[in-house]
Amino acid sequence: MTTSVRSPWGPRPEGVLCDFVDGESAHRHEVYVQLRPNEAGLSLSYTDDRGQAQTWIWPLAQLRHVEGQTKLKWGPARLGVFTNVMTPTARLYVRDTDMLHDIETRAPSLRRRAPVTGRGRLMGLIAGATGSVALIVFFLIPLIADQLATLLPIEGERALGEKTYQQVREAFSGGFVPLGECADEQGLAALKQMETKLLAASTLASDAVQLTVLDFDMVNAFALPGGRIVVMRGLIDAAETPDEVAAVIAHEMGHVDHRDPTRHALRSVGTFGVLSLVFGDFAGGTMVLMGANQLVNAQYSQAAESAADSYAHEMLPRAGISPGALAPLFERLKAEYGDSEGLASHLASHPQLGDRVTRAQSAAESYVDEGVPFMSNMAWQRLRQICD
Amino acid sequence: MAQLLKTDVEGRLVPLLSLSIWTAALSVVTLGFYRFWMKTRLRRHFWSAIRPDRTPLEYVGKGIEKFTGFLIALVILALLIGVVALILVYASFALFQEEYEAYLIAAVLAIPLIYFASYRAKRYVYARTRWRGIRFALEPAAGKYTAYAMGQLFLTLISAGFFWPRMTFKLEKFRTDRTFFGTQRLNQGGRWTGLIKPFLPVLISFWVILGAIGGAVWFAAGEESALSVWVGLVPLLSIVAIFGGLFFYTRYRVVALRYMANHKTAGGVGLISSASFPRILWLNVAGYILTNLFTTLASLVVAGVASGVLVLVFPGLRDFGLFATGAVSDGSGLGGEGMPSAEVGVFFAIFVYTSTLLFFSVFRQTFVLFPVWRHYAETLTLTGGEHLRDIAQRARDEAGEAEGMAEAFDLGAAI
Ligand SMILES: [Zn+2]
Repeated sequence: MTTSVRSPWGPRPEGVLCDFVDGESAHRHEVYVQLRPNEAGLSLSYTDDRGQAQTWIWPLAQLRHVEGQTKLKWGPARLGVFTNVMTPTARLYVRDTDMLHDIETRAPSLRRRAPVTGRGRLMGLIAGATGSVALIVFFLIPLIADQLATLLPIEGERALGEKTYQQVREAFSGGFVPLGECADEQGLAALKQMETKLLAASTLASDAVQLTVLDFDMVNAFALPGGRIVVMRGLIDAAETPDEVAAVIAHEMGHVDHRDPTRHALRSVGTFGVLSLVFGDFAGGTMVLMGANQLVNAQYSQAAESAADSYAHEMLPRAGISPGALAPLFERLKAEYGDSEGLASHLASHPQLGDRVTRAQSAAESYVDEGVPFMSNMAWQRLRQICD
Repeated sequence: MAQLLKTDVEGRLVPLLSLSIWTAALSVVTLGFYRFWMKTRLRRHFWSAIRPDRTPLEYVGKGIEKFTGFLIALVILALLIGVVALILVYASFALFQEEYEAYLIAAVLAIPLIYFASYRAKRYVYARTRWRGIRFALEPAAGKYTAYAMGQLFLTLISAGFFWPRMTFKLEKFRTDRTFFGTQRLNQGGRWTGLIKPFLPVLISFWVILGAIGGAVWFAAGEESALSVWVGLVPLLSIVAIFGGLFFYTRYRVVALRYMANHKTAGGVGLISSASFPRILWLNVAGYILTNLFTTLASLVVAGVASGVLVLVFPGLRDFGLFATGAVSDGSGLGGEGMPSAEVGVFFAIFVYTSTLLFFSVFRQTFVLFPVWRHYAETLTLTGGEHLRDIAQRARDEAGEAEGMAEAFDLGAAI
């Protein structure tokens, strides 16, 4: 300490010894601080870098806390850091308890902040960013995804489907074991029989669809990229006839034919990329969970749903099933759970569930039942026990 | 007369713990949007805890700056990430029926972007750091830095890691030589060869791992039965080399940091760091044990309370008792009589996941990051304090976009 040490023989200034920096150089000065009640100011006496004695007067009204340093500690005691609005880079460091108390009780606007500027710019930015993210998520990504979905070769589609299938199984499992595939031998044979019959009635290639039953208590079925159609055990339990299950599967085959799952999976890749950017890493895992949920409860566009329904209405008669087979199941579900409450499934969560029932019934009007059951009672009983 | 100025740290954990808990909780409640303000508050806390020569550092950044910077970066990156991710995943499935290729290409594309973003982020942090009212600054050179870093990285790659310490040194020198404290430009002295010795054990471990993998592949292809004993040793050898490599790399980081600090000057002012590797290792080990312990406890308490709420609302879960949250999250407690629906299940899974993550980050901050930060600060001494009077104030640097891009990539996640 050179200049800040005063001559021991000189007069010692009055006041409390504190630390001070003038905001002009990085040199710390020892300063004697006095609170002058008459002038309502703080006087700071120190020796500057050129060895000159200086006295600054800081009016109490101009005193401010340095933001974020209002509650600093120095060991057990407090450390006050103050500045003056007129010299905002100067700092006064006060450790003397009494002086600190005096300043804090008498300076009127220690906590006042500089007024916020650029609110308009901020609002503009928020609007711009929201708009462009919305444009990307709702327009650009669907557009590209739809194009790419039609270009993806079937091997790629199957690989994508396999990947999403594993994700779904893991997301709905308890702990480390993925959700079980139902594999009772006779049940599988019945399922295969259903698959072959439905495929024969459809416009799809004979290997375009693979049916799988997962051991899960949810009334749901969904199609994955590459043609895997997953039926949850809950659906088979809820169905009263094999025709009801077949009708649901026919609807899913419509989605497969229109490549809706592939489109959807590609879209979600882009969308989740963007969303995890927006919400930050904290949401990373959340996004994965929500992504799996999305696959299962896929909400395709209304147009896609209607197209899948029409597809089903058209192919079901060829398989010897009334297009109206869907209606009783939906009506029972509606009676049990209300319109869409409590039932998370893309089959039933549609707001226009009633519409679909009506349309299925009107499609069924022209249908003539030839009296040949779609599936024998024995095969149906075996299918119902596929998960045992 | 070289004046030595030591650094004090205000190191109590309780205020930090409460600050991190409430800011993290707010971040979760606001779907992550409070994170900009959270980081700002934490930085202020960390900065002002450090007092070289009795005056605390200041962080004067604002949450709103980080938020606007993030918005600007978002517009560009959303396009990039959304479309590029989509096309990469498509191409990778179309060509390879796999998605690892997509990740690989994305990672390669991301590397320069990460260097770019991290330089800009540092520039913002420096522009908002003050000590004794004097501003720090980092010259704008993110593009040049990125190109330079790519060159260094390439050299490191083709030398199978030998030039890694050269990269450490050169990149640090690039940044340091562009850093200012007030009017004073900083200078990074020393030579990269000074880092070779501490890096050698890391390099040897790395080469052993490479050799083991290469050997395994070669033996698998050739099936030389005479050498099969050797093949049996490969996994063991790799594990030893991996742990050895990690240990020595941690040591290298500390030694390199010390070396770089000791050779930094700002005019007549210099630094002496006496950071100790055993101490840092201990702080990390003990810190992570505490972090995991507290995270587990806190998550159990939260799951217990949530189970109580669930059992009250859904009587069908009564048999699960305290494990109701778990049963609902994993699906076994769903869809039955008096049980919640699948949406509730997903909601609870997300809730359990985010709260665990939240606790982990909060406790890690308190028990690992802060103690390590404290140790580095406490072992730092300034030399030539009498030259501080030669350092004058500099004008404010807007660094307008803040750390937008780094924020989007979640770089510098520590603080
Ligand atoms: Zn559908």
